[in-house]
Amino acid sequence: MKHFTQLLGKIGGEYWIALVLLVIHVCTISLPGREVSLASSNMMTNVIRLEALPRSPQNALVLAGSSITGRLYPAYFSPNGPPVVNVGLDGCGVGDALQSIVDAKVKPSVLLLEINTTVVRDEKVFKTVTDSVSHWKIKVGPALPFLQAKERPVDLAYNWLHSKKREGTTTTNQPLAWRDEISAPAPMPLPKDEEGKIAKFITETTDRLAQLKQQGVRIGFVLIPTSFLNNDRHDNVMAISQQLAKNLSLPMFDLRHAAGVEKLSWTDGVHLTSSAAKEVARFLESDVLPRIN
Amino acid sequence: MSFTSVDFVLFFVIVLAAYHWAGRARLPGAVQWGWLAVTSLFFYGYEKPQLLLLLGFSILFNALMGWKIAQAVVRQQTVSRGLMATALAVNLGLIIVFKYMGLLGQLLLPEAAPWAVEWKKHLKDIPLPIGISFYTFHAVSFLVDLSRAGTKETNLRPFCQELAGGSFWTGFGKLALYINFFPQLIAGPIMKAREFLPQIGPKTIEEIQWRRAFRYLILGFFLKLVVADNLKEQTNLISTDSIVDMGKIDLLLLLYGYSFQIFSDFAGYSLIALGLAAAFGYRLPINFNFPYLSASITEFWRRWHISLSNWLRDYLYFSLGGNRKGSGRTYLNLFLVMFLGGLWHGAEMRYAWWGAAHGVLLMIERLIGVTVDETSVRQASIKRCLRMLLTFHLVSLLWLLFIMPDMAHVTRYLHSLMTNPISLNPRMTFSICVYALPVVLYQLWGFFRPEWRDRITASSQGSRMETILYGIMLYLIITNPGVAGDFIYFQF
Repeated sequence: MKHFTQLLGKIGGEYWIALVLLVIHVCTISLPGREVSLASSNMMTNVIRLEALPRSPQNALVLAGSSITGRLYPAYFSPNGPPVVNVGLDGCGVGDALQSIVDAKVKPSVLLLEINTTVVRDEKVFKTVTDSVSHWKIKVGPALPFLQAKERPVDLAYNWLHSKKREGTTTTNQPLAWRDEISAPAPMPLPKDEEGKIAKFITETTDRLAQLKQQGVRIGFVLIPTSFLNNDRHDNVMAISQQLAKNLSLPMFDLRHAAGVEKLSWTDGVHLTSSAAKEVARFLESDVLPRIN
Repeated sequence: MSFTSVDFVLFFVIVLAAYHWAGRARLPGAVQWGWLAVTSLFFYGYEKPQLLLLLGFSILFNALMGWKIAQAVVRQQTVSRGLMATALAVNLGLIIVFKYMGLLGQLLLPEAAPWAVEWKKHLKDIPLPIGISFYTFHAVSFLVDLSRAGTKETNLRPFCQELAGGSFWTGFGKLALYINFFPQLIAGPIMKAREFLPQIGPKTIEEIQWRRAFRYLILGFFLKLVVADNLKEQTNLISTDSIVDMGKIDLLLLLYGYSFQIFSDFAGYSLIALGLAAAFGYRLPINFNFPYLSASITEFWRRWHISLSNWLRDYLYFSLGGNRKGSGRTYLNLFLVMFLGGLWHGAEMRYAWWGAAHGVLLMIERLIGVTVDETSVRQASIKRCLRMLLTFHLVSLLWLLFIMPDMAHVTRYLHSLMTNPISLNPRMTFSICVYALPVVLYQLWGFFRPEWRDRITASSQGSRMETILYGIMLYLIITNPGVAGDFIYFQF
């Protein structure tokens, strides 16, 4: 012990400074009313979202999908509704998000699965994300919260700046309204499947969804509007999703047919702006959620 | 075993504790450095024990060759050219077989013949043993320095006497430690035998400069975990197809971000290696000296990966004749050294192009009379600042050859940079600016003359400020690391 303290003395005061900063950090992150849902990088945002999944409450509404879903921040939903957990993974597809929910110990009450993105999984991106989530730091996170991805100082700062920007936005002037076509999208033929990838995806995903359904999860498919309407990618994904919905008798909602959709705006043609995302969130909560059995 | 893994932390603590316990217990010095040599082998073979076969062969072969060379040196005879040629050929043969056969197959075998296609595949599948480029360079340095022990490298004479005079196994053990000393085994700094072998001996815990060692570790881990790993989250985009949709400013930011990332990644590794070695009482050479303050490519190579530049100069450039055989030969030598230095980084043509481009720039600088004047290095004149900016941009643009999958991607990037609209992604801008800031500040610190830097850090206020900065870095290492990734230079 004597040698150890001598060694600490030789090493210097930086350790005390780090300790003081750590204590201040722990006090800051213990303050109530913070919600960190966006990091300064895509990968870290994914880690934060997946990190939150095992700790989500049982009656949660889980939104799963790609970065398009990622824009629907929980803060945009009504505080009186069910708690919202967003598993919109940047750079990943619906298969990845779904896998993470199947793997989670606590299952949500409702699962809204975004079907905008490609069905073919980017194994490399998803592996990096899952490796990060299974990292020892995340595992000890509940005991040592300052090690959690969502408590990184730079991301706290970024999130704070971003939330200031979000607070300043209002919903669109003309709210979205329900039309029957939303729940009755026109049937699409399945795309060519020479390599058998699509058939494999449909089989695997049907199994995963059936498993969740058996565990009491209410599931619905949602196509979130983007500015590129009716392109091939949408049609292919629609056709595959229709097949999945048919296999398991799941409801499907094509929000491109909502009244007032033309008033929405996107940052890059695909991702909703804050005001549009708020409007879509409100519409999901008020019009789509009650229709999922 | 990666320096950033929990396994490594455990390994390091156990090895260090036992090492210094042996020192305190006054066990023979050979126990201490023998322990380091054995545990370094464990470190190297931890994930793939089969790699130890090649490393073991390299150590044994070079020990035998060294023994023959040492005998000649001790007897004051000339070292046989045949012996040296055989020893060097086997070492270079190993690196050619395990690193370059795939590339040679692609370049030399015919395109269409079915047997050639089959062979190309087999040659491409030869696994690359991690760290082979580094330990082969150590072996070559060992052989060459030992052969010069009779004339130039006189500090190696005691080692020659040990190796040739009946203590072969002691010499063998020391060579094993030199070649596989774990802090620098995977990615350097590349030590010369004449610098490392004389350091091997008993070390006491009292003689270790703990503060220096831990500060190297803090700075190294900060650059790697906080700066490089976080920048990587953005700069990964530069080698994807999404660059065609990005705005000019975003593309430029990605380029700068990558320049700062590769510096932080590699300088971080080197600093960690320095810190680890210092904890065992060994001094490794500084590998980076504020490289982005260079005002020419010539100067850049005196500040970037210094141990590689020195190795190439001492063992390749001088062996080719250096600048002693006329100006034409000097230009050719410069180009060849940089071309081979580029290929040393990887068996792909993009590395050869990268090295060749640096070689051409060095030739041009020599042609127009650009020299590295030590006094002008310390003057922050406007002319020098402009030259620094130009050099930084040249170096950064050449990194494109280094990271892009192929030349078509480089062309796509440059085309997008010229033609895409000016736009800015706020999240990317925020992230690159925040994580690049420490590197910029670190480089600016290099503007001060070394004696001023020493004076500032020696003053009580400067010392306090330094302690605070290291404290902040340590805090950020704990709370703000990026998604863990390998060191870039591990692949070389």
